[in-house]
Amino acid sequence: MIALDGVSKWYPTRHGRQYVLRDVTVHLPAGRHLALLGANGAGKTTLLRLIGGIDHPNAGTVRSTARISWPVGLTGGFQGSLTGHEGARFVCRINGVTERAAIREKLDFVADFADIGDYFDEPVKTYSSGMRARLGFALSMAFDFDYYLIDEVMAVGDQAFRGKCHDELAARRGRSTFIVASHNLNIVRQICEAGAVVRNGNVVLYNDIDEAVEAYQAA
Amino acid sequence: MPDVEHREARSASLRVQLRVVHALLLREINTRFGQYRFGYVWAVAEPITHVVVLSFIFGIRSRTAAEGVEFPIFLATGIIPFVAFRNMVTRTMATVEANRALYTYPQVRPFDTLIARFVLEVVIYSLVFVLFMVGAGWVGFDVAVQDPLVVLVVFLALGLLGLGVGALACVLNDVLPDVAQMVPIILRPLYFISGIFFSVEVIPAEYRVWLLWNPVLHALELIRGHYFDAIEAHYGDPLYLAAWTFACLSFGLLTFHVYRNRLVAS
Repeated sequence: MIALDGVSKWYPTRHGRQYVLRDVTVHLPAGRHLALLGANGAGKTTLLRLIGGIDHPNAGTVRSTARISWPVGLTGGFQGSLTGHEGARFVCRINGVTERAAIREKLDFVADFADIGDYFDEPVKTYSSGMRARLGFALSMAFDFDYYLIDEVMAVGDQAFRGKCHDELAARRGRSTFIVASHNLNIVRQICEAGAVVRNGNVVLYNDIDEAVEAYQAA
Repeated sequence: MPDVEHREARSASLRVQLRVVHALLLREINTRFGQYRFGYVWAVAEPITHVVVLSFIFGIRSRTAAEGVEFPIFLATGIIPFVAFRNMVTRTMATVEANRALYTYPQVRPFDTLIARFVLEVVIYSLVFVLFMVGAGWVGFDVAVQDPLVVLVVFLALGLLGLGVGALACVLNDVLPDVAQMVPIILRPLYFISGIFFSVEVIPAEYRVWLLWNPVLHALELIRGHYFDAIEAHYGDPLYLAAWTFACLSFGLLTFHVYRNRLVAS
């Protein structure tokens, strides 16, 4: 389970504090694949960053004992001057995969899943946004997490890649929980069972995805 | 105090951190040298170029810096530590900017990226120093070192001073980028007042008292005093250097620590 208790996140601006999240308390149960719904700038990405532990709330706590992926997003955690191959190798190392054979196995998986051909050995700055997203997503799938945080990644993939994502997610449904931020309601409906609407600094949890989508569209 | 607890990222496990620093080091080597093999060449070539050019400019007038000390070697003992210091400041200053993409991973914390850069710079310039002296000895210069251990300690103290200044500048770069642009501008004149091509002894006393405020000059004086048998570091004060290093390092790292969460927020 991931528990947010009294979480507030703001950014200082010239006009004072700009709240992204204000005193949010939600408990995200394991095993319920969750959609994060909200307009642009509503705070979905910020929420994922807080859950992923790469950003920190100004007040309140985020708690979990589960293994949580980094937020897999469009920008991907890659340095432009390194190749996708080198970036993937780095992520293997920091996740404790340090043996040569084990790294090779992961890299083979990533290369196969991302399916970006020779670009895997080119600097990431030469990638299209779609290729970058594919690489980031493939990389996250190379590791076993209890929770995967997925930020708008599948929406940019082409038909074939989306199909592959679906198969992979379906295969992991029993073991892992997906938290997906997306504007694509079709994708969200296919993957998720529950939904959370992020609006005006609040997060409202719905146990049924259709209810969540309805509430999101109602406003 | 608000905090986030994650088993992997927040366990403060030393093993995770060592793993991350190790991965970052390999990555730094890769980006710094991998792309163009010139990277290795440039690290050695830069100080050599300075030594050769300055030897030509000053060499005609002052053959020897002191009894039995050849001028190019005298220069090298100033230039290499200085370039190491300057690069330490500018490289650690750019740490957060250069590693921003990697803060996507919760294991990677700003402090780890800072340490990786520090270690790499120390290793590079220690090697450059040794390689230069071996090369110079091979072509016939007298490169005998009197007290290598003390030279190394002073070299490290200078590196830590650079780390402290760089960590502070790194935060400044994020909070007040306009002010941070001043740092390289301030570093430039330091080249001329840190005693790279002169020993502070030869400076008239009324100017010397001003130059002696500069901790980098103390470091270079100390390095030379312990490198060469013939030179006594009358003016290099180890306590003065240590005080600067300690103050800059603690203030720099503390500031870095206080701002760490802001640094990763994109």
